[in-house]
Amino acid sequence: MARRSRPESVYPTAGGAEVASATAAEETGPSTPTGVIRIVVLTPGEDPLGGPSPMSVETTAALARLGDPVELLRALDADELGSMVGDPSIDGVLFDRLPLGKVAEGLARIPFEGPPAIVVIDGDGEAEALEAFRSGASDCVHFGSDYENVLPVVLLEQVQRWRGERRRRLSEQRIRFLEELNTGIVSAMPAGLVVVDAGGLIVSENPEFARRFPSRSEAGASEFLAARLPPELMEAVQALEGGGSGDEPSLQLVRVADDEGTALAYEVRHRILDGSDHALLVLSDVTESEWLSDRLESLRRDTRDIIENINSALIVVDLAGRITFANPAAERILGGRDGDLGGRQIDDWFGPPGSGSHPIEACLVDGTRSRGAETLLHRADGSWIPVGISCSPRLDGAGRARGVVAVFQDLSEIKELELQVRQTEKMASIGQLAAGVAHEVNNPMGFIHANLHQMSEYLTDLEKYFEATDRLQRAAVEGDLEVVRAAAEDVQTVAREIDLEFVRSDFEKALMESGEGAERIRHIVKDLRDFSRPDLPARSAADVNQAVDSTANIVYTMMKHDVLLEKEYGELPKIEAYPMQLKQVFMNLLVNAHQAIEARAEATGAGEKGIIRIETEEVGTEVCVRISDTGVGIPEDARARIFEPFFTTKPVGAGTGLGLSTSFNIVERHGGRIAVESEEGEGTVFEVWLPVNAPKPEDLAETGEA
Amino acid sequence: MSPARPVVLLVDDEPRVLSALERALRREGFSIETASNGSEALDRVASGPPVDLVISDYKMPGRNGIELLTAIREDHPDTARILLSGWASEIDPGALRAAGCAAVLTKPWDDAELKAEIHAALESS
Repeated sequence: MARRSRPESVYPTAGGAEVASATAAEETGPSTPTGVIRIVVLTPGEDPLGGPSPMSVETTAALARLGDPVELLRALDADELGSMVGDPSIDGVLFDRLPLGKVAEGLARIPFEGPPAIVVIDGDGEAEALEAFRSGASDCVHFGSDYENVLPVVLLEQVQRWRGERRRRLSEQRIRFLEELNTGIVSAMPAGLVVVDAGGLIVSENPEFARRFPSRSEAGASEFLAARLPPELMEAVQALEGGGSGDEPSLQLVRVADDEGTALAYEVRHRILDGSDHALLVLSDVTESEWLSDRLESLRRDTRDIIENINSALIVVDLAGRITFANPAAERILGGRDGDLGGRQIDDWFGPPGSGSHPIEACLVDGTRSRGAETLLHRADGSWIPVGISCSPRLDGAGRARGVVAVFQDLSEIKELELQVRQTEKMASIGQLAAGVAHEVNNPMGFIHANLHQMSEYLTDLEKYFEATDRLQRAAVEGDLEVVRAAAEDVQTVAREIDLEFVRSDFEKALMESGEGAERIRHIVKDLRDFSRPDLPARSAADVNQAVDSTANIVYTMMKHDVLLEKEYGELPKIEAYPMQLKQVFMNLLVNAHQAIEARAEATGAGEKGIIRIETEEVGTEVCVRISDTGVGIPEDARARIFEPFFTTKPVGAGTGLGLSTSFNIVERHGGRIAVESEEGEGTVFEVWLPVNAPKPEDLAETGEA
Repeated sequence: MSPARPVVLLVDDEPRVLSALERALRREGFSIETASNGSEALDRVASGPPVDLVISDYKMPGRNGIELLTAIREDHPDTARILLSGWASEIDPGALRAAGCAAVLTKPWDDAELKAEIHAALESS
């Protein structure tokens, strides 16, 4: 045991003994472990609080020579020792001249690979030392003359060895973990990994590579990469080998078709491994992500195309009411150029200046959506244009408001057309009405005119008679009987000639008949006046019965030959309305009913009159005007379309195709609705429902109305 | 009554018009008859002494004036026809031609014109 006979060394003493020699420190310094050395000492049977030290003076002195601070931990028995040595910070265990039995007991508790155990043996007992080694001691020190020099050397050596061992084991563990992690990653990676040598032979590959590019040769035989990869990929690899020498792996995108002909996209990365002539290739299948990004790109392009090219203006507004996006149509309407609208306030265009009341504002304030709302847009040149606008709130993923998307259209042209269409329909209605009224006025005018002519002829005749009677009168005054007799005969002759009796009675009859005709004309004119009383600029309390009745009276004049008109008016409250507009609706419905009756009479050849029935009633909060006819009815396939503009079932020239669509619009603007029921060959029932309390009136007055 | 007195049939659903026409034509030397609708007029033309001239209104319940005159033209082509309409513009020109009227007059009519047209129609038939 040469080690126990080391030459004496001088150690600095603990506790401030200034024997330390610089020379000695230089000799031994580098071997000193850093930090506190923690030693467990088995001190059986001793009261830990009893003595000042568990060790002999010699051992204490020896430990002081270690140079490093020593922490002594007492174990009172083998069990305690066993539990203490599990702590990896324990550097060693010291058995200081204990009976061999106790030593063996303690040694048994130190695990294999545990801290080193040093046994101090009293005297020169070689056999005892042997026994201690057998029991698992790391080293033995004889308690002899050089004990104080040997123990520190032995202890230090053991502690260093143990600490080195411990570090090595830790490193090994870490390496094992990293290796396992690496293997796990490489084999689980969804990309093919392969390492090739400078000659192109495969050195190693991961399961994904093997799965995607299966080997064709016997297991274990080394293969060339070229034998495994399709030519397109191989070309890419060769191209990368040419250039990929930098730190960053070089990359290529390659398209290949698999066995089933499906097009696949691979991303190939190439890297020369450090310190070798091996290259790592990574082949990732990016087919799906490429498809997704293609799809995303095409969606983006489509969306952009649509937004850029739609005729509607589209703007995106942030929560502060600033424009963050405007498409070209929006720029045209708002009058901005080259995207200089960004950041501008929408109040610059929408709503009365400073009022902030417009659909976009409403949407910003409480998320109110609008669809096709009409509002006015103020342009930089001072003009206002009507726009139809739809607004939706923009929400983020968590449902918080981010702003508003608004789509709007310039309605100027549509408004203009609408006005023209309404005017056309109105003119057409007036034309029909004029025809009916003219016909009705012409009949009495005809006979009044003829009677007047006849009465003036009667007057000429009577003139002759009056002349004769004048002559008779003069003769009577003169008193010449002959002359009187001749004059009287003359009167009789004239009376006979002119058929005096007839003239007198027929004159009276003609007068009476003409008077009656004039009365009829007066009536028609009154009806016409009642019918055509112009609307006030605002809605007024309207008597629906009066509106429908005055219309019926006028329209009846042109249909009385073919139609029996039945009226049953209920008691109705007055409603807020434009009576003239309502009359236009009733006139349309009555004219249609009449035409349906005419068409049926024509089809059946029956000379019977048709019936138009007008009923009015109050139902709940609504007023209903029901107009039913016994006409031809509306074919089922036409029923859905009758309210469309320009749709007509009448022969060319008989209708504009605008009557019902105009009626529909008028009723809608009054907050009401039109219902229709019809049976072919039986007749049709139209119902106009109007709310008694109409919703807040918008500006319903037609401008430029005749 | 001389057998030479032409028979003139007036057709109108409006009695006051018939009365005024009768009054106007009283001294023209015609035998005046009246009917208040198309079928009454057709019955008269089909039976009894021949009718020389029919003067008909256009708008009447049942058969209208054009239909009446067209029917008369087919069965009695020698009977002259005059349409006396309230509103001529609404009459289909093709239908009007088919009726082959000697004259089309509108209400209110001019007495002198009416008489002239009647005499012309009677002379040419």
